[in-house]
This record gives sequence, structure tokens and C-alpha cells, in this order.
Amino acid sequence: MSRKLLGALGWFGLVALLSPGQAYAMHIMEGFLPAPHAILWAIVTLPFLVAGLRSIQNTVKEAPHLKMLLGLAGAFVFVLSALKLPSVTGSCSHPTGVGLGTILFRPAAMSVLGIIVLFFQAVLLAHGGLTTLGANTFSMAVVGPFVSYGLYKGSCRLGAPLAVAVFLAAALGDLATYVTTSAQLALAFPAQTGGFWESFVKFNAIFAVTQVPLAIGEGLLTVVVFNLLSVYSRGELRDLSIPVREVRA
Amino acid sequence: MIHIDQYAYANRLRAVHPGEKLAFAAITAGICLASPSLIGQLAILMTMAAATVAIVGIPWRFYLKLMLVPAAFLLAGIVTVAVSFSSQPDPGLHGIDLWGFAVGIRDRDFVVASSLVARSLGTVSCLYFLSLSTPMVEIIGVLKRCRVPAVLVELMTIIYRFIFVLMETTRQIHTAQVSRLGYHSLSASYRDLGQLTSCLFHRSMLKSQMLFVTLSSRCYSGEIRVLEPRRRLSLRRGLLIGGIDAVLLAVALATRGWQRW
Amino acid sequence: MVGPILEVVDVHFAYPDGTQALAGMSLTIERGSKVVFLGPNGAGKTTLFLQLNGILRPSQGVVRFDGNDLRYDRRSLMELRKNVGIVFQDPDSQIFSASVLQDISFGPFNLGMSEEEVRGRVQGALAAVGIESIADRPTHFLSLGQKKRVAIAGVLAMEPQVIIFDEPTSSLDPKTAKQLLILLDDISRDGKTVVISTHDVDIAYSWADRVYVLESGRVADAGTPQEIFLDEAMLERVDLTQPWIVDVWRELRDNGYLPPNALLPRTKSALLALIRSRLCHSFRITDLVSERAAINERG
Repeated sequence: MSRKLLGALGWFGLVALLSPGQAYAMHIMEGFLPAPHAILWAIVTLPFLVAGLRSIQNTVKEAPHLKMLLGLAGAFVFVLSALKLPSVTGSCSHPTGVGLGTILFRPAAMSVLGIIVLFFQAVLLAHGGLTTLGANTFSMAVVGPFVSYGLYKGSCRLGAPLAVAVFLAAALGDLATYVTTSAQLALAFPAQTGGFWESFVKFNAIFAVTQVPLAIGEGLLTVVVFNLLSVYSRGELRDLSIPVREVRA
Repeated sequence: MIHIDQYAYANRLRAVHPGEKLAFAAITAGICLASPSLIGQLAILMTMAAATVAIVGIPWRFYLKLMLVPAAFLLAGIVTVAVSFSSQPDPGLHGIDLWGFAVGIRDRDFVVASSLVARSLGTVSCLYFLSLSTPMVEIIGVLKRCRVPAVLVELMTIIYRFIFVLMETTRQIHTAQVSRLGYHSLSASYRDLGQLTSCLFHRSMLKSQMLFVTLSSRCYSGEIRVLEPRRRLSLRRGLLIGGIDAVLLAVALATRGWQRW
Repeated sequence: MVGPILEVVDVHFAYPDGTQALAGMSLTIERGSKVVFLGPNGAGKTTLFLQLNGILRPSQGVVRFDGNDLRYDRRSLMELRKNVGIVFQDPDSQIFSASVLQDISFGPFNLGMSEEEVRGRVQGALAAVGIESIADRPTHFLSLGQKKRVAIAGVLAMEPQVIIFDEPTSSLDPKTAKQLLILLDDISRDGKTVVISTHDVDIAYSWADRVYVLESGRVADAGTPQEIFLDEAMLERVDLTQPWIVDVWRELRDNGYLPPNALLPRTKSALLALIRSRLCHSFRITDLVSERAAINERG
């Protein structure tokens, strides 16, 4: 058996060497979730998607330009998530765009844009998957945006500086997404002895290596971006009804 | 940048009805996901890989590289599933002793992990068959026919189109920055990437206003209706898909009891 | 049918940010004519075009189509936009779908046509602009010239009476620009009124029936190309140069190579023909002498 273990470890090592050193936001890959879990998460996500679509449909009637605005917003979030975050370690990671997207376009719109962006990432970039689309949408386009938006609004109301609010929204939105994904994986693969919690801790620990630096990096980037936007894109921010205040990073 | 998209428009199955390709990928992925058998999943992986390389006409080197895209996630995922810790010596744990912890793999977890690898890669091969053989516009067309809400389909159409426009914009801004010594240090990188992002946002919003104007001048009034390309459904190919999937299903069912090692 | 198809009468317009884009502009576009608008950026060309198509509404003054004042309710606007199409400068702001077929079919569907009719219109438009061979390719793999053609087909498919082109040749290489001008001629020959804006005085001079020069939201001058480009004082005032044909013709005439009453040619080939005929004229005597010599030799 130990020879089998050695063999397995050797194989892991080989894969690690071959794998491209890129850390995307944590999307559950195609086929990783068992069928019942895949279906369950799709069902859980559905009401949020329907609510998001409803709110868009209602607004489009009065403001037909909203369709073009959301279309460009979706393309913006997709391209944003394909950018490379500068990192200290030399490894390469990509922002999720959840924090910035949510503050700019609201959580309801983000649930719709999120599922489309995830769909395109799966088909065009082989990143994430279609059978895991429900689970990934739930973590990235439902939990992430709601946490981001809640933190943003909450900290603004508590009088925190805008930079802090934006950083918290972006960084903790990312962390919330990754913790949710870990929970989804732990539910699907509970440990034999420790059950869900042992597995949850294991998944959190192993993915923290890439996801915690990513969250901090994305938080910083979002503050820089927001600062620039509040100087150069006041008009657009006002149209999206975001309070225009100078951010001090 | 997006090579998958290029193959989707230039492959040997381009003229085939997208519904057939989508059905083949979806049914096979369904069998793979529900399959109780590792052999069945490996059979699906082999069949789909062979179909994608030999029939769709994707160079095998590119296909192998694509297969490695999810490797990092897969590796981290199966290590997490397979490796267990225990504070007491555990005879069921095959592995080593690390500072008083037993670290290793249990028999059952090894089986779970290995079937997880086969299932994931098998389903991935189904996704790749679809994405390398079918242009996104046609996939969206099938979704429309499957009664996906119109708003969602319209947004997908616009987003897909403008992904490429904005990527080109991004490339231009990035070149302009690098040619003036952008991104030369970590703090500069954050500043420059921030500039790029805010510039991209600004241009996206301008583009959306312009798009509204240009579409309004073509009588847009809230709804986007478009033609779909005409493709012929083929009974012969339908039967072939049914046949292949029936065989794969049979293999999966016949080998369900073989996982005893 | 002759007579004005579009009239702009003393139109004023300011953008919400306060920029006065049109300041009492008046002009008339004749049915079936080829009209060029010249003028620096910010002179009001694009704003004018958006007025002609009812996207923008004058704050003062009126726009008329076919003799009737524009009305800005939904149905009237649909009717107007069906008849006055605009091809915008940047096809990446106009083409909304990755599929050529889908993009071209958008306008005809908005006119309430059936799928079969739309298919016919799309095929017709593809053939008219000569891009049947790329109809299957996604728009993000097309060159700028090809994308411009897709944008034109999207407007042609609606079969408007007037087509307005906002800087159709900008950023195109010379060959593609030339092919595009030929396409504009084809469209004009089909009986459509074609309106373009450009910075290229050579194109304006050779191509137009009538030229409008715009300056800070007003018409600075209007007339036939010959009238416009012989008015040196006006051209200097609005920072426009002379077309090279006019330059060369004037140089030849002022130095006695052409008679003072020589007509101003419109095109390069007309100018060359004129020069050649003058060369023949001055050498005619020597030609006769050498011809006589040749006959003598043979005899």
C-alpha cells in the first residue's frame, strides 16, 4: 500500500509541475461535484437568478438603455477577471471582479451578470464548469455580492472611510466566496471520521494559500480603481447612483 | 487570447446542427456524472478525447494542454479529499507519522479520489467537445430555443460580443502603459492596473451609451430579435449519438462492481 | 422625384453639459443627391446626423422629412428611422452581435417583418456590400473594413431612403477606402440619398453633388464642389485645404499651360485627359511634320 501511496504522490508531483501556475478565483471544476449536489446547487441558485432577471426586466421597460449598460458591464467584469493581479510571490492570480462589480452594478444585477460570466469562463476559458455552474454561481454571484454589498453599505453607514468600505467589500467578498466554495466541497466530500467540519477545515486550509493573497490583492486594486473612478468618472458613478466622495487610500 | 473560441469557428463539425453537439455533450456528461463505475468514466474520457481530436479536428497537443487547465484545482481537490490526519495511531491510515499526527490515505478515500479524477476529467472532456466544436453564438441560439428568458439571451449576445471589443481595448491600454515603463515595480503595478481598470470602466460605459444610440437609430425599442443560422438536423448523426451513448451507458452499468481494489 | 427629402430649419441644440453643438443650422438635402459635410471636429456633424434620425431633438427650430415636421412620438420615430439610416464611425459601437447574420437581421426585425422576409433582406444586404463569403465568421475576427461593411449592411437591410455615413473612410487603408467609396456610389445609383461626413477634401471634391461646410454649429458655406473649393478665402477661414486636383489645375492655368477658360475637372482621370489634350495640341505641328516625313519615306 505504501508503494501505491508513493506512486500517487509521484503522480501529484508530476501534475503540479505540469499545471500552469495560475490561480483563478476558486471555481469548482467541471464534473467535480456529484450529480445530486450539482442539481441541488442549481435549484438553490435559481430563485436569485429569477429575482435578478425580474428586477432587470422591470427596469428595462422604463430605461431601454439598461440592456446595453448591463451588457457592457458583464463584458467588463469578464475582462476584469482575466486581468493578472500583481503579486509578490511571482505566482499569477486573477481578480474575481465581484467587489467592484457589486458596488458599481448592485447585487441583483450581479447575480445575472455573474452566471453569464461564469458560463463564458467555463466554455471559453475552460475555467469552472457547466455541471458546477449552479454551485459556482451561488458562491460567486450570490453569496460574494451580498456579502460585498452588505459590508460596503454597512461600513459606509457606520461612517468608515470609503477606502476602508471598498477594501472590506472587495476582500471579504472574495473570502466569503471561497469559504462558501469550501463548504460546498465539504458537503459533497465529508471526511470519513470528522465529517463535514473536518473536510471544511481541510478545504479552507488548502485553498487559503491562493485565495487569501488574492483577496488582499483584489481589495487593494479595488481601492485604487475606486479612487480613480471618483476623480475621473464622476458622471458615470452618479448615473449608477454611487455617492461620489474622494477616497484616501 | 481565447483559442477555444477560434477552434469553435474553424473545425470539421462547424456545419453540424448545434443542438446535436450540445445533446451529445450533455447526455454523455450526464452518464459520466451519474456513472457508478470508474471504467465507465474512463471510457467516456477516451471516447470524447478521441472524438474531439479525430472528428472535430483539434490538434492533440492543444487538447492535452487544455486538459491541464483544471489540473491545479483537481490536484488540490483530490489531495484534500484523499489525505486525512489523525491524532491517534490509526491502522486504516496508510501513510507517515508527522509530529505525532498520522498523515495518510484511507482505502475508501483513495477510491473516492480516484473515481473523482476519472469523473471530473470525463465530464471535462464532454465540455471540451462542446466548446471546441460549437460557436458561442450557436450555443446561445440553442438556449433560446430551450426557452431561456429573452433578457438573459440578449445579455449573453451583447456580453459575448463586447468581451472581444474590451479585450482589444485592454490590450491597447496595456501596451501604451508598458511602452512608458508601466508595471516596473509592485506599487507601480497596482497603480497602473488600477488606471487600466478605471479607464476600461470609463470606456465600457461610453460604449454602452453609444451602442444605445446606434441601436436606437436602427429602431430598437426594448427588444432584440435576431435570425438564427439554419442548420439541418440529421437522423443518421442522431442515431450515432444515441448508439455511442447507449454503449457508454452499458459499459458504465456492466463495470459497476469492479472497484474492489 | 426631385425636391428636398430632409430640411433643417434654424436648429439649435445644446448637450446637457452645456456644449452648444448646433447654433441656428439650416440646410436642405435633395432627394437622390450625394451630399458631403466638411468641418473640423466639434463643428456639429455628428450632432446634426443624430437630429436627422430623431435621436436628438432640437431645442429650437425644426427638422423636416419629406416635407413634414418631425414628431417625436414612438411611431413617428420608427417611421423616420426606417427611412433615414445612419452608419456610425466606429463599427464596434454599432455591431452588437458576434454573428454577422444576427446583426444585420436586427433592423428588419424591428420593422416588424416575418422571419422569411428578414432572411431575404439579410441576403440582399450581404450581396449589396459584397460580404457573403464572411457571413459565417464572427465579427471579432473581421478587419475594420469588413466590420464597416457589416455595419452598412445592417442599415441597408432596412432599405432606408436616406443613408448617412459618419466618416466612412476614417482609419481605413487607401485601398479599402477606395472600395468603400465605390460601394457608396453603388448605393447612390440605387436611387438612395447618400450623406457622408469626412475630413478628406479630395473625397468631398470628387464624390459630392453638394458640399456643406460646417463651423461651430452653423453652415459656413454650401454649394457645388467647384463653388466651394474655388472660394479660397472661405477655405482658409475654416482651416480647410484645397483638393489636389484644384491645386494642380489652378497652377497649370495660372502659368499658361491651360487656357484661362479651361473647365475645372472633377476627377483625376478628367484632369489627366485635359492635360493630355493640351499636350496633343501643342505638339500637333511636329506630329504633322513627322507624319509627312513617314509618308514621303514610304512613297
